[in-house]
Amino acid sequence: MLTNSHFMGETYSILVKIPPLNSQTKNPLSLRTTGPAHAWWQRTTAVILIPLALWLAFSFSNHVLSSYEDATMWLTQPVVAILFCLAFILLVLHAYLGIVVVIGDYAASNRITSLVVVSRIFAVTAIIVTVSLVISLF
Amino acid sequence: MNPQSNRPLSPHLQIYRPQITSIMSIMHRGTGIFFILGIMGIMVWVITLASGVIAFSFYQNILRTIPGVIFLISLSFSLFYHLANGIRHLLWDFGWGYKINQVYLTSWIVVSTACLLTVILWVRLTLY
Repeated sequence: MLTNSHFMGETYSILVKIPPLNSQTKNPLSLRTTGPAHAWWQRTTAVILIPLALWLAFSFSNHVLSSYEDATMWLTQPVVAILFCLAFILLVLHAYLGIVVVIGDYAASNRITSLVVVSRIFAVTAIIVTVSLVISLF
Repeated sequence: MNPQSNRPLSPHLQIYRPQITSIMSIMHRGTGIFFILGIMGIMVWVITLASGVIAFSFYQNILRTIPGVIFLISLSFSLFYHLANGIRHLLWDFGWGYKINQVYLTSWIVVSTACLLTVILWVRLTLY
């Protein structure tokens, strides 16, 4: 039987009452991290993404359908390139942490590990491909 | 299921009346999963940009079709909804907003913020 969210069992809020360290069971969903570590990573990426995702939405949207020259000019500004890569990495990490929870909720228990590994491979590939291609534009 | 166990039962969805709270909750998950397509779309955008003008305009032409634009509008709404509702979740993490009237109020704030930001984004895009 899975105990995927049992660290949240007694309290609604991990920030109000942090689970004691000795109560950590190895979380079967995130392979190596424990439940509290997963929850903290999810919230940390979420907080940083509040300004970054708003910036991405309102800045990137001007260039999605613009001309090739305009899009290249925009993305090759150093500040834009750094923010873009940072936003992309955090989006992928946050999505990975989220999809791990979704897999744990809906997938059959013998499929969980393989689905999480596939998600992790997708996440790492997406980050490497996108960041290296942004760098290659310079 | 073992009837002797004291483990909580999840609500049976077929007989459970939809409420703003349950709709908001599943929408948060739905928009989050849907935005993975957005992440892939951003990745393809960067790949085509790095591949040259032909690939880039080919991708843009797909996005400019009516299904493409509907996809982009849904993506922007998903992002804004998940962002606004995510802030609501963070407030819950700090222990604020558990009273039922606060839950209903913040639900409507989240929905209207998401709609408003989507409208602002697309009005801005069509005007400039």
